[in-house]
Amino acid sequence: MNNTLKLFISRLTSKLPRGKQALLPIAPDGGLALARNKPGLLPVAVHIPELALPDQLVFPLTDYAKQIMCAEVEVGASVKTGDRLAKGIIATASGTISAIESRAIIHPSHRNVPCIVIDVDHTVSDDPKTLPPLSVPTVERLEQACISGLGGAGFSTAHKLRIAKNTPTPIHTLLVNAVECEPLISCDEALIRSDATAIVTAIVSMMQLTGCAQCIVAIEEDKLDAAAELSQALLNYQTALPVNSNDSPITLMPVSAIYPSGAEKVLVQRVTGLALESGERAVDRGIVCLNVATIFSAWKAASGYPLLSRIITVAGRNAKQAVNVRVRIGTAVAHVLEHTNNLAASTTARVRVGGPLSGFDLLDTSVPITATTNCIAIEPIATPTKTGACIRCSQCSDVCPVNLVPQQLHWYATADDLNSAMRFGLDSCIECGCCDVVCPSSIPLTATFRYARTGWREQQQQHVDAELARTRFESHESRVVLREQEATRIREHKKTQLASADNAIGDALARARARKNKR
Amino acid sequence: MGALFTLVGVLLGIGLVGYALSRLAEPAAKQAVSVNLKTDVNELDAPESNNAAAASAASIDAVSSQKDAELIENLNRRLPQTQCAQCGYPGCRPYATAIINDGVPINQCPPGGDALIEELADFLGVEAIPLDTDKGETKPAQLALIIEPDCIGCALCIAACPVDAIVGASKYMHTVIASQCTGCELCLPPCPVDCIELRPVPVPLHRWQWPKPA
Repeated sequence: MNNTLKLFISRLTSKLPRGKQALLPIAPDGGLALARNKPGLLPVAVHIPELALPDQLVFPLTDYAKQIMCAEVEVGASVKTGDRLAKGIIATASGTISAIESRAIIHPSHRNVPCIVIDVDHTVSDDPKTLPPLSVPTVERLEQACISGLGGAGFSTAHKLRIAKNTPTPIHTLLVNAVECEPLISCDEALIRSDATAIVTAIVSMMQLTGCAQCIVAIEEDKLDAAAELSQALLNYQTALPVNSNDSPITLMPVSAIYPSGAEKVLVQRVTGLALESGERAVDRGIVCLNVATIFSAWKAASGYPLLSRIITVAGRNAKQAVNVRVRIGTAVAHVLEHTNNLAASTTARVRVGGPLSGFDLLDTSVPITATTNCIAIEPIATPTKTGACIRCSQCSDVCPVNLVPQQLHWYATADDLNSAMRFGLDSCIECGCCDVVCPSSIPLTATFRYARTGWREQQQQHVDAELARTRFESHESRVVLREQEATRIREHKKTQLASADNAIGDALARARARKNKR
Repeated sequence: MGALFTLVGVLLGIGLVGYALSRLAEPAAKQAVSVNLKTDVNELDAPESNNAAAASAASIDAVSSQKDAELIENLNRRLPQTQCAQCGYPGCRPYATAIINDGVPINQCPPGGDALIEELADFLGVEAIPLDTDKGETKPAQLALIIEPDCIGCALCIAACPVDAIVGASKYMHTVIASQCTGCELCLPPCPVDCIELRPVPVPLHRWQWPKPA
């Protein structure tokens, strides 16, 4: 469909009597052109304040896939900053392990999971530099410093780089993701503005580590100050290079500020034009895509600083004070709200983590922040909207950034026809929530896709479990048969032995009789 | 009018010819079945038969039995693999074999329930029938748990478990490997001290599912 026609239809459908907006901001290639300067978001400050250290830090014992892990410390033990607590978890401040117990965590299930609780010891000096500095970063160091993706998924960076190294396609491009999906989030922007020169140094060291020949830094075109500062820092870096070196391998690429351009799949397509297929990763095409904050923390890890804190955007329509703040990992959301003057505002609003579009509401603000918590949004309590029937207006298909047909997926997902939903690309859905925004009938499309996708995953797992039970049953059966055969064999053997023993007795008797007769 | 009569006549004629043909074909089909059965007997009694006709029939039979084996395998993979024997057969594969070889109805599997019956009906091209509730009711997934202080280490449940999901030794405490238990309940009857309980399967966080929107 050409753009004029698409725009015409979007104008036409936006005049529907049940439509939410007068003109829906659907971008020509999918996604939403949302206004960045929403109420509640103040201009991004250059200086990022450090939040006061709380009295207690909580570390959920889960990995990025939410599998429960074993604690490697005991209750009562005293730990120093940077000490390992479990696989991929380090103490972000010194103190005493006061408990290992079930606590609420940031998860849409609102379940309690085992957590390590540290009572912070404020008296002991708290040096964030806990590792010996290295001249160049190594994958082992990233693992040691617990560097994980700070953008969203929280995948271990060391693991990601190992995967990249082991894929058959050679890695040629480092894609630095400085595009923040949500219109509210500005933590990466704040990081770039705080020290653009250090960011460029970090990017160069990551290029060395990954062995990439070129690098593309993608940033939204409306982050004017951050883009300008980064561009200046890049220029400084290039002029400092020796004259005979090749052309600058680092390119700054502005992308239009369309939600959700920051999602890896969408970003790769917008920047390189490569459309990743379902199940295909960027590394399969020779591209390592890393968040700018992840690259920065990896560089800091090389100089001896493990990942102890991250920048969080506290904002939202109901936020009293919108701010980017550096928070120690393990701090409770309530502590962040309190120290940013937002605790009172949050009591009459809903607190969302991960941004207003792609995030989810918290029921309990005592949950600890993790490396992936990029935003705490304080939004007004939504009045429940009445869901209407799908009128096949096709706006969801127009807005879908990964070219799916949500109206059709919804049809299959509500009918629990998961095979058909998968055939229509359910697995490619990035759960951005654009279709929810444009739907004139207020159908909870993303929630339905999340349900269908987890349902499908469970179905697959059940197949795997059944397959295991089948093979175990078969080996059990064959063992029973073998045992029976063995028992029969032993029985037969004993019988023959007995028979031969009978003969021996008979022979002995005969010999005795013969001797008697001789006498 | 004349034309109408001719049309009726032609239609009648076609009908009669069709009927006659079907009558002719019927005994032929029956014959084929009996031949098939005979070759079965031949194969059992005299495998090294020199009769050329019997040999070719035997090869056809071998092909069909291989096809049956594949069918049984495909059918077995659709069964829930609980190995609970509620169907009256000692496991899922024996039940699949009985469906194909003896024409046992497809509604004998309580763990699979109506969803399985529909799938099997679809796969075999037969009518879906309601679950035979005499065999049992469809229950949510469950897991056996040994109350360990009560276990006397008799090893009877270990022998009863169809998927080797119980570990232990004689006079030592036993325990169930939760990830491998199918919740078949076969360990319950042999336990002399009733120390095995069935619990609903806990959903770990990584297998949590989003609820269906209302």
